[in-house]
Amino acid sequence: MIVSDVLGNCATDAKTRDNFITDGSFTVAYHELCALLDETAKALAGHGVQPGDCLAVECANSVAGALLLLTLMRDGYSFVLVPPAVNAEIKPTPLFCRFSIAVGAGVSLQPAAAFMSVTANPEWNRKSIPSAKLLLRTSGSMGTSKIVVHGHDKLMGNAANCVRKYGFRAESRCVIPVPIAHMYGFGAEFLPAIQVGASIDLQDKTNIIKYLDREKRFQPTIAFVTPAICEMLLKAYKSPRTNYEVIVTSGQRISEDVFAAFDERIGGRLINQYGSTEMGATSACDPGDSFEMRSQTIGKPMHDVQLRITDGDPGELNVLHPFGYDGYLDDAGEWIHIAEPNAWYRTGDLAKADAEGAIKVLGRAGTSVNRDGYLVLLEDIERIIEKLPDILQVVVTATPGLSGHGQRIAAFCVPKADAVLDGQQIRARCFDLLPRYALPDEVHVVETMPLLASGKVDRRTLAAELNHMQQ
Amino acid sequence: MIEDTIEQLRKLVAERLDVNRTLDEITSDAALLGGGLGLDSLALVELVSLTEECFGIEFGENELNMDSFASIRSLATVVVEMRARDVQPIAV
Repeated sequence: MIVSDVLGNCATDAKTRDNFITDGSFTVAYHELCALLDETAKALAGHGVQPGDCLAVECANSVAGALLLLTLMRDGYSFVLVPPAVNAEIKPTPLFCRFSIAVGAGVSLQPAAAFMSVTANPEWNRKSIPSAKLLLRTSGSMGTSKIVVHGHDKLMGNAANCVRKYGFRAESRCVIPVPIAHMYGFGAEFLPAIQVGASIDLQDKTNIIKYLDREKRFQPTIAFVTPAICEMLLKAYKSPRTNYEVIVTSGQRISEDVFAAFDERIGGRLINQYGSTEMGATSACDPGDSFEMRSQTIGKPMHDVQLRITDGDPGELNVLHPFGYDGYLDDAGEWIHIAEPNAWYRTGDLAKADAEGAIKVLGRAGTSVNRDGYLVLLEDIERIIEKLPDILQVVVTATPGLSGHGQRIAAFCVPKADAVLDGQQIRARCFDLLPRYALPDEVHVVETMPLLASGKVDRRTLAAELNHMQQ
Repeated sequence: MIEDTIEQLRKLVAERLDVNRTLDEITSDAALLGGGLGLDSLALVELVSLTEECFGIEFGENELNMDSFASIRSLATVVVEMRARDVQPIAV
């Protein structure tokens, strides 16, 4: 499926031509899209962007952002979707990107050249990257993340799987309150909605008030959310909603209470999707599945996708996906890993199958957590907090329970000799260093780290000390 | 009444919301959303819950709107109105 064909059909088909993409400030109908994409392409050329250039794109949930992404997909550019940088030390622009392009929220669509700010990358290394690829960092804007490479053709295949699973069609009205600069928002909701020519409401940095206001006008039938948005809407909804055909949540575990209460409020339409930046949408329940199935399991794999559990029970979840990633690049554009065709991908997630074969995902197998949909390596957080003056050593661990951002995390810090610091002060300083999803929920000062015989930090003892502190 | 409510709300934002702001930074007219205090989505839900808890009220969907949550002052106005409504004697 080719983006230009899809857009051409949507522009002429009577069922879709007047459907639209809106961000609350600006609205564009499908029959207007092609001309606007041509203008966007012209504006890119005006900024000196040439076919074959790889671009770093920082893009808000706006119509202007959607125009840019669709232009890049249609014209076969390779581009990296980068989240906004939190501080200057974390450089989100990979060296192989010739330009950085930023598109904000609520920016006017005319003229196209004005809605983007295009900056030449002073550190561009002239490395050639294959065309028509979408590139995504594995852990947001944090540290030394790997860059996941997807072919545009496979992205469209992944999106077609979501159309099939969730029932996207021309009459659907799709609200996107999660970032479109992320595999989940872009690959599992935005592109599927585009494929069928459905109307789209892009919400940038949603909140309880914005969502209620926009929902009243747009009356969505499909929403892709996070557990935090479920909690938010649970607080907001004083009356049940009947407009939704399906609400998909993903990215981290959702507490059973919230799942049950929110599912009841929307008429039993809540579904948990399992996926990853590498594989895209992988498995989910169907809207008609029982409450037990939807609340406990990740349902059946997407079309032509296979799942298996290896190394024990619970064991590691493996995925065989026809539309998976091509491999990983580093920041210089060198391949770190090339995915073999037809090779099983090890997810790093612990899973268990029940008697009927439905799969339950239990959590991460290693030292990473899922927060706000980002896979966060605990080591990355440690390295960043260790840059603070007066801090000698930092260990970050996952702790029991959930916070608003996902699995709870705690930091343990050893101050330098003579430094007087408490956990609150350290945490306050971290607000400027770390993206909000990576900010530890609690910070504790310890004199020394407990060590294992191997010399490694004894994380179990630390976690036990935390229990002790809380009692 | 309104000034007392404003003070209570300022304190609540400074002391109980996870936003890393001091009391001095929280002026009654600063925008709660967007620029100004720039409360994120989670902090805004916390603010709704804490305000309900602190003043013994429950916001309806109609009160959860941009105008009510424009600033501490506008929120205080809504809180005072809601409390006044709650204590009105019921005609028999």
